[in-house]
Amino acid sequence: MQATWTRALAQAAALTFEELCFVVAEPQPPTAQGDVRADMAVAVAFSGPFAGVLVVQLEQALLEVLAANMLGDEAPPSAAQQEDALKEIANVICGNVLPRLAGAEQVFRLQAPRRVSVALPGAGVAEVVLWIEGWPVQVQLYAEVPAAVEEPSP
Amino acid sequence: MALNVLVVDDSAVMRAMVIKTLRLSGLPLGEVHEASNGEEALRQLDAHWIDLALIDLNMPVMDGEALLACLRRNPETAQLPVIVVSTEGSTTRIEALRRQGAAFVHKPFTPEQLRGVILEVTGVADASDLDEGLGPGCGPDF
Ligand SMILES: [Mg+2]
Repeated sequence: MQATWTRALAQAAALTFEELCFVVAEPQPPTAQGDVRADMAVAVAFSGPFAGVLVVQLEQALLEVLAANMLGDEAPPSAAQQEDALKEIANVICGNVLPRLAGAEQVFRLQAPRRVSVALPGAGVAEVVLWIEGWPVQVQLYAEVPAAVEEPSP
Repeated sequence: MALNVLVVDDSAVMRAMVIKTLRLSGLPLGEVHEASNGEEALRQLDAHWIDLALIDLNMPVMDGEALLACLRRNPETAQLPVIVVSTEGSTTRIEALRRQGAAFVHKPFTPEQLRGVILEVTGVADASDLDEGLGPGCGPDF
């Protein structure tokens, strides 16, 4: 189950970065990279067939690039615009990953995205790191895993 | 005739992206108004003549579904062309929106996808001055 969720998360995130932010997000860093770190995190809570939270976190420098691409303006995006951009990115990834996990007929309710503190890696039920122009972005999914999709215990 | 448009989304960055696509769409744009939730949208609709509304679903205060229901109940806005622009992926919810006469554009969208639906909904796809838009394939064929 975890591999399926991770793949769905990676696909929804890559699509969002490509079409919303006009960048290519790759699963592997193009060259050797340092630690995966983040300065800002945003969470979207959802409820429906199962409940949970999706967290997107990244470095400030990457967020500036993404927000500038989304706005397409000459002027660099303000701090408020950068935070707004990250919130919308998280909202769009969340909305796109849930039907992939639960099926297209299922109805989920998404709450407004909010700033959260940067989360530790390895805590979610699914987690991906994508690389955009040399910077990492982490997408984590925390969920009450429904029994129907839980793997049988050994 | 220029079209007055209302763009409703809780994300200011998303509103800017939608408005940029509108400006590049070749649509004869009049006034562009913005709202960050359904309640603000209703106030804008009270204050201005609006020909087309693009509305998000997931918003605080009043969401897009509640807004659409309000619009359809009011005889003055019952026929207002509405495009829902949302990350919603549930076919159940999208069908319910279509039954209320709303077109749907899924986020993330390409500018071409949004432009295509805008032209379809407004019925101006046949105007002869639209071929300087976002590229080939969208304008009329001569
Ligand atoms: Mg929204």
